[in-house]
Amino acid sequence: MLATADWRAIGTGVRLVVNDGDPAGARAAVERVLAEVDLAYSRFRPDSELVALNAARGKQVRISPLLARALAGSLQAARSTAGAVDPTVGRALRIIGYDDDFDRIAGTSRPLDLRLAPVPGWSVITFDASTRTVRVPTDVELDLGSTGKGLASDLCAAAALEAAGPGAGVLVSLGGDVAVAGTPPDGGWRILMAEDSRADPEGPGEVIAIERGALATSSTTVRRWTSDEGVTAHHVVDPRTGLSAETPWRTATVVAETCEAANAASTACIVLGHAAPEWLATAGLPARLVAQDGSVVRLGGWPEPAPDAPVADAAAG
Amino acid sequence: MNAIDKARGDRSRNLARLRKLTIGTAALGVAATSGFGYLAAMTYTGTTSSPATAYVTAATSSSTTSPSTTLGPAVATAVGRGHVSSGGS
Repeated sequence: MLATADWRAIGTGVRLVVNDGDPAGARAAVERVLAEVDLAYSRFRPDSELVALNAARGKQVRISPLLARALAGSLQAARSTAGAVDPTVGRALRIIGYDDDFDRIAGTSRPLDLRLAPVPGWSVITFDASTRTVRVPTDVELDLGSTGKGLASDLCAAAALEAAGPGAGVLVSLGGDVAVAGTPPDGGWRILMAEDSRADPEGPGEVIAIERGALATSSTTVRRWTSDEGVTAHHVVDPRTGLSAETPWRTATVVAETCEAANAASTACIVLGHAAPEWLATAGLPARLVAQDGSVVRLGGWPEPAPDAPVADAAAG
Repeated sequence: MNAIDKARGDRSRNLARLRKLTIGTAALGVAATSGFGYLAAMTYTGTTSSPATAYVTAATSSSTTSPSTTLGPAVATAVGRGHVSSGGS
């Protein structure tokens, strides 16, 4: 039997689905993990560890195990994508206007400061995982969003599974970044491919199923804002320019063993643009890319939709 | 031409130049094949007094296999209602 709970945390929607387990215990476990994640690496909490690290002005800082893990993941994602995903985009994001929880940005408009300047690049970060010490140069600001939310989904799924009890299965979604663990329901965990993760999962559109692993979607159409001058930006920054990525893709969805890896790969697809399919083929990850005109490219074993599946709007593919 | 228009023009020209220097996909491929397996396998030692820390190892120990030889988890076509939606947020 499935039990579902929805709420908001860390600036996004949370969905928890528990298969044959203790839903209250699982939710409490997820809430504890998210509180810890928020305190460790939110860019918008003045008391977070990440904010303190960004303000350390080049001093070496010893960080918590959780922030160290998140930072290590972001640096590995940068290596794995040859810098297409880069944690040093924090300042660029702030300059283009993504300087607060998106719930508070979406309703405002203000001038955008467009300055073409590549981000400093992940190699300027000095990090020793064995001692959990890190040095971030002055004027470099980290943002772990591209991998941090995925990691949070992974951690939440692991915690929820343990709390749900023996034989249970769990699905955790943080704004559409989905991690599953344990025993799936018959037929697997069904996930609707949508333009917006807030879409009703029982609505029309392509539905896929996974029994393990994770799935993440990066989008240029949802977390998006416009200035008074009509200049539009979105939250996926191209490290080569420091500006919102210009890309042929509306959304990129990738399935991987972990949501951290899936999120890194989906973000890389947006940044890489036309080079994304070739890169995905080498990475060996199933993916679904929706072009700006609504056409869909399925790669790496991503299946064609069922012939009788209800069709969603073109943008969602 | 106002500042915004100039910035857009500069951006277009510079992007065109930058795209000629687009990261080589061959180099990316080498990085990718060694990267995502490691990302999935990373662990670290730390205290286990907090929930997130306690699950770091569990959440990241599911695979140590390079994606160059193993695809990601299987994806199947499904019919019926979704349990969740994935999209932008």
